[in-house]
Amino acid sequence: MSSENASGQRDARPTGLQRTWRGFRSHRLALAGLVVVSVVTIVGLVTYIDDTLLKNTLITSIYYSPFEPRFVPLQGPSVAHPFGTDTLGRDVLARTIYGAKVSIQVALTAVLVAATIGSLLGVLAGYAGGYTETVLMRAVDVMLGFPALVLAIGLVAALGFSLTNVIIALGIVYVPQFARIARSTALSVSNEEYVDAAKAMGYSTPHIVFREVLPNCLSPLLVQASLLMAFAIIAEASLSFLGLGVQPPTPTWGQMVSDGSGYLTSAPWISLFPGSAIFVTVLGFNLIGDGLRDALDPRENAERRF
Amino acid sequence: MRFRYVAIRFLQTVPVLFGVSVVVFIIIHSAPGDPVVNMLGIEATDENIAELRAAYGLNDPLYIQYFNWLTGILQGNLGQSLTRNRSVTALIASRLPATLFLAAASMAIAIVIAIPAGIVSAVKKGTTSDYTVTIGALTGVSIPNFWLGLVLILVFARTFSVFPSGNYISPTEDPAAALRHVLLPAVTIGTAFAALLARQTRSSMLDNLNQEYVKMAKSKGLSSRKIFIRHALKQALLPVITVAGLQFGYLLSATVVVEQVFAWPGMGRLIWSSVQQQDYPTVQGAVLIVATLFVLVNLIVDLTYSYLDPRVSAS
Amino acid sequence: MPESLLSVEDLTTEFATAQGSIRAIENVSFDLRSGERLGIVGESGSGKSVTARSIMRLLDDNGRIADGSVELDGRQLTDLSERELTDVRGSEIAMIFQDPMSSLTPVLTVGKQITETILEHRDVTKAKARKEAIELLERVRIGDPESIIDDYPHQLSGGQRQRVLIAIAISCDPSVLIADEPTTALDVTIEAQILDLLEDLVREREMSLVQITHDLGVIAETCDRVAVMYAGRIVEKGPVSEVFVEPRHPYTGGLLRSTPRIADIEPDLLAGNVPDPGQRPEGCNFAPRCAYATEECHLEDPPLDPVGAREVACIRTESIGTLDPIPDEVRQESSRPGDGDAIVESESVYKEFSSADSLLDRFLPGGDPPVKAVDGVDISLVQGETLGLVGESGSGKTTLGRLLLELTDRTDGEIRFDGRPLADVPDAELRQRIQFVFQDPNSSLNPRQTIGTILRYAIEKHETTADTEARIAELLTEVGLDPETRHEYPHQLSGGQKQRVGVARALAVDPDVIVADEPTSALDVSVQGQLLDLLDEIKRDRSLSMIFISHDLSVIRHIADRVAVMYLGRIVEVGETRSLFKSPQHPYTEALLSAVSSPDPQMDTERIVLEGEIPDPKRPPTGCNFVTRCPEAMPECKHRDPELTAHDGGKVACFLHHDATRSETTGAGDLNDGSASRPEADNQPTTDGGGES
Repeated sequence: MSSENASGQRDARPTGLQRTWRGFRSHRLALAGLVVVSVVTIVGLVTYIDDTLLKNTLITSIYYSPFEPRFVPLQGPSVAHPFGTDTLGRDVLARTIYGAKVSIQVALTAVLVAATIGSLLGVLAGYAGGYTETVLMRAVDVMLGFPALVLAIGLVAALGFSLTNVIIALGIVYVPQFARIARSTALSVSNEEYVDAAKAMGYSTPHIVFREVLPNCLSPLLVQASLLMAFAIIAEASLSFLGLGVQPPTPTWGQMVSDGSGYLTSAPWISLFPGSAIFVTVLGFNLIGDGLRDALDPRENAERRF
Repeated sequence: MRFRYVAIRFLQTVPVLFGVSVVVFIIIHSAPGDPVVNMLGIEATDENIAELRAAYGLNDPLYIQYFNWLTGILQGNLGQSLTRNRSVTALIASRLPATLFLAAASMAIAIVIAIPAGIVSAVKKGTTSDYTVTIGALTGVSIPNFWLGLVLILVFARTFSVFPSGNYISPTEDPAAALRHVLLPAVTIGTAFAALLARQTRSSMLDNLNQEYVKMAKSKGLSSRKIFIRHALKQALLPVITVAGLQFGYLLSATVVVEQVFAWPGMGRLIWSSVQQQDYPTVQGAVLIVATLFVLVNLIVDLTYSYLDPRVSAS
Repeated sequence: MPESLLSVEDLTTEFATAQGSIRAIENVSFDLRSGERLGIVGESGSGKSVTARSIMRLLDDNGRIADGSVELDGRQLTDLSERELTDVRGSEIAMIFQDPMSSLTPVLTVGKQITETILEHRDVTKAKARKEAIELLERVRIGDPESIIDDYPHQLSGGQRQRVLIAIAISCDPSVLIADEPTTALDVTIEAQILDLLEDLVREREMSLVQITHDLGVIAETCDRVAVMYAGRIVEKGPVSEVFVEPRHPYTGGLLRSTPRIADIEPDLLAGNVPDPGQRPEGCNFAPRCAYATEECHLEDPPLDPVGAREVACIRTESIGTLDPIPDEVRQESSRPGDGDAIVESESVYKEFSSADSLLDRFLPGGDPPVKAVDGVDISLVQGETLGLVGESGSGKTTLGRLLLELTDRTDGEIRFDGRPLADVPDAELRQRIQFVFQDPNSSLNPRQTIGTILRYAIEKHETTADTEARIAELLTEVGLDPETRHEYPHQLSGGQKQRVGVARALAVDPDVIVADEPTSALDVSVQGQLLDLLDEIKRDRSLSMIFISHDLSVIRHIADRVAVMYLGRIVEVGETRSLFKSPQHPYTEALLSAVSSPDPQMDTERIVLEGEIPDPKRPPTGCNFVTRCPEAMPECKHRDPELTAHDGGKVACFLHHDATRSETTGAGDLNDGSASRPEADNQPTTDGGGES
């Protein structure tokens, strides 16, 4: 006898995933964020393909190349060059579009890899407890003792300034953050009776960890992933602003802002547009993160006021 | 029992600091290039190189080098800069005050703005004030700080010449000028920090206002003001303290970039220039000091929290 | 008709939710006269708490009073502004909240929370207020009020916190006191103390009391009049002596008949479930479950009509007449297997939990001593029987249950399954043959798995070649659920249904023994009976042996063949259910039994109220664990620990009945025989199994 109302109809309450989507959907800002991020991601993907596989033919055929200094430098925005041209005479819009490639690559790769590794470690630590937990968490504490960007700079300095190394550096910086959240969630989940029940049933440890504990740890990790993607974009931009990240000629937004910093009064558009691109993308990820958090948090659900 | 708790927390920090030093050491020693070669330039002879390497102890196995370095640190000796003619300790000592001043100013600005904003937005949830604060916080957290710095310079320093763009003046020399000069960089860093704090304050406050004991206080016939201040506020601010401490790391990170924008002679700029110059001992020392500072701040925050929260202090 | 102090008329409250606006209570009306004690009783979803909060205007932001009025001493509370209300709350009408832990502000001392109330409503100095606070603490029977007053809430026990709540409530001498489930979160013996205290206070200060609870026994013992609520409406109202003895409304009758009682009676169960607030049926809310319902009942909500001294909301009450609150059937003794083999046994089992937070905490000197959860327990479960394990918090009953199937590792002692030590039993076999049913329906099922998935894992664990779908359907039917439930998620089921799934899961591996840990504690009274019946049936059909853990003696009475009573990690008495309940040997068992309130107001119970709190399991008293509260304590009880010894058909650990002392060595697996250790053969006169009939 499932719950039936007076007219005998089955109570069709949706699954967890559906409810989450509904909650998310109702949060208009979060949707806006999703749109923005999707656009940037698509641009990033397309430019990635163009750059690695098509040798820039796509962008040069539709628009201008981001690399060739063909135009008159330091020209303001116009119909021909909606974002103006930079110090070397390159089109700023083309470069801004290409900048998306690096940002998206770094954000998605670094965070997804860090999330996977960090979550697994954290869940293991939270579930197993004892010495495993202590050792893992001390290691996490050590890594978290470094301010994020400082650690990233140190790592990049050690490894070399390249895209791959930036991804690795940020990945290393983010693993402990996921591990910590995963552990505390896993800890509280492990105290739930259904985990005990699984033990009483004699299920194997991998089954318990992956089928019982982990799926219930996902929500805060998802929120964290999206927020860290926002941070990753800022981090990568900061690194390239300082000249410590991806090197020219690959255009990155941070680099472009740095290039334009000497021309703030005379040609502000060189810094302005890439800076705005960073802002909008980061805002998008933050909105998604917020939306996810609100949708997944049972308390925030529901109530209107009178 | 308080003493025992404090002692335990202290003891727990030691291995962390130790671990930090190991990590710093490993990272720096994985750097490419031979620092001695860089120092001496291309014309160096093999004998010169070998001589200098021996002098710096670079031929010893890693753990010996680490041990020597560690003992040196504990005696206050962080090594010698490779590119500048000073000891690392002296370099750091000359830069640290500037960063600390900047960090303190940023934190002050952030706290003064964020906490009242967060409280107001929680108490008036759903109204315009709430939305303003929420959106403001969202913006603040999403703006890249270097860009914000540049914009502030553009507007306030160049266009309107209201505030100078950086240039550290020690507050002990000339407080008024010091404040004027630190304002723009502090606002730059403080904005993101304020945004984080405001959001945290808001959610903590909201949590609290919904608690059963707040209802209970209401049932006693206390006025809303009293309930708010005595029952909700103190409790709500506790987790904010913790978050502020944790985000201090963000503050330190931000100084690296912002000091660059404002030509502020602090630790951040030191780290950056040392990396550029491949002055590894300085990078090592500076990163170590920054990380140690962060760990200690966290410890202090932890102990302060435990002192303030009776559930921990009076158990 | 005398002036009523508090007059509630047609009170209707609604809440705004994502599914639209929901009426939590509708047309609630009652009067409270000066000095009167009114009980509001109902199960979850009845709206009793909402009623209390509506009266005090303490609703959440999304709630509001949609209709009706609340008049206190002539003033319309519903019309007052917030500011005006602050004068009324606390000084004229006060509320005692349900959960003492979450109702006290953690960052303020207890004293502060009392004095601020006094200072708010009366014009006294701080010093005077503090003095009064101390007096109040004394009045609510808190020991050592001078030092407690500066303590923080988390430093006090549950009972002490509840007393503080009471002290706060009476501090300004309100004329009306509303007690919202004041004892639900407390242990039975502490509950007895608190109810006793409330009764005294109400009488002494001439207050009127509104007692809100789901416990019929509490109402029967403490209230003059009662209002029974169901699904947001009052269904019956009147003097307790009438309503509980000759109920008229079918729900009231059903409630009384389905409540498990201590007496030798088999409860008569109510079918169906309480409807959700958003899904109340057209017409009478109870009609779908009512045996007497007719077509007309489904048309409109029946109004409260007077019948004699009471009011009943039932259009058919004239024809139904009064009902019998006590079902006829006398309990069937569940098939007693006789003294068979013990299938599960424990011998001197110990379990300690460390109180350390971290590794460092454990090794550094000066930390808290470990918690002795189970302190040397010998117990045996005979094949085919149901053994009840009874105790309050800190008794160790749950831990013991878990130790028996190695869900928790024991610190010392021996446990045998089927005659073999657990170490010799392979994991796979143990996990298949003993299973566990958990307590909290909201936590025992993985929220991300469908019922079908949950059962499938269990079935596949047992036999990999089974026709899983068929087995799932079989299991669900066996526990009384629709096989289609397999597609649903836990959050879509009710508490009772979730518990049934938990049972189904345990049965999926075809066990021989089931340990059930408080499986009914989180359920409503009418649903409890259903689950208990189910367990009984399953046990018979599958010839299982069962250990049933509970703090609720009426439930144990209903289901157990033998009972073991635990206190602070030890077993203090074991015996056959009937004889133990009739003539308990151990003073603690006596007190426990007398603390249970009966829903029959005509039963005159002389209640034993124990003094003091349950001791801290980290620092148990020297000598007998019960010595700090035992009304029959003798001087030697402080120095020697009684051994659980056979006596009069059962076993008891008390020097009133024998002289055997426990050997204090931890870990020496000493069997029952404690007589070896005593030098003086001081012959105590053996008293007869005293206690009550």
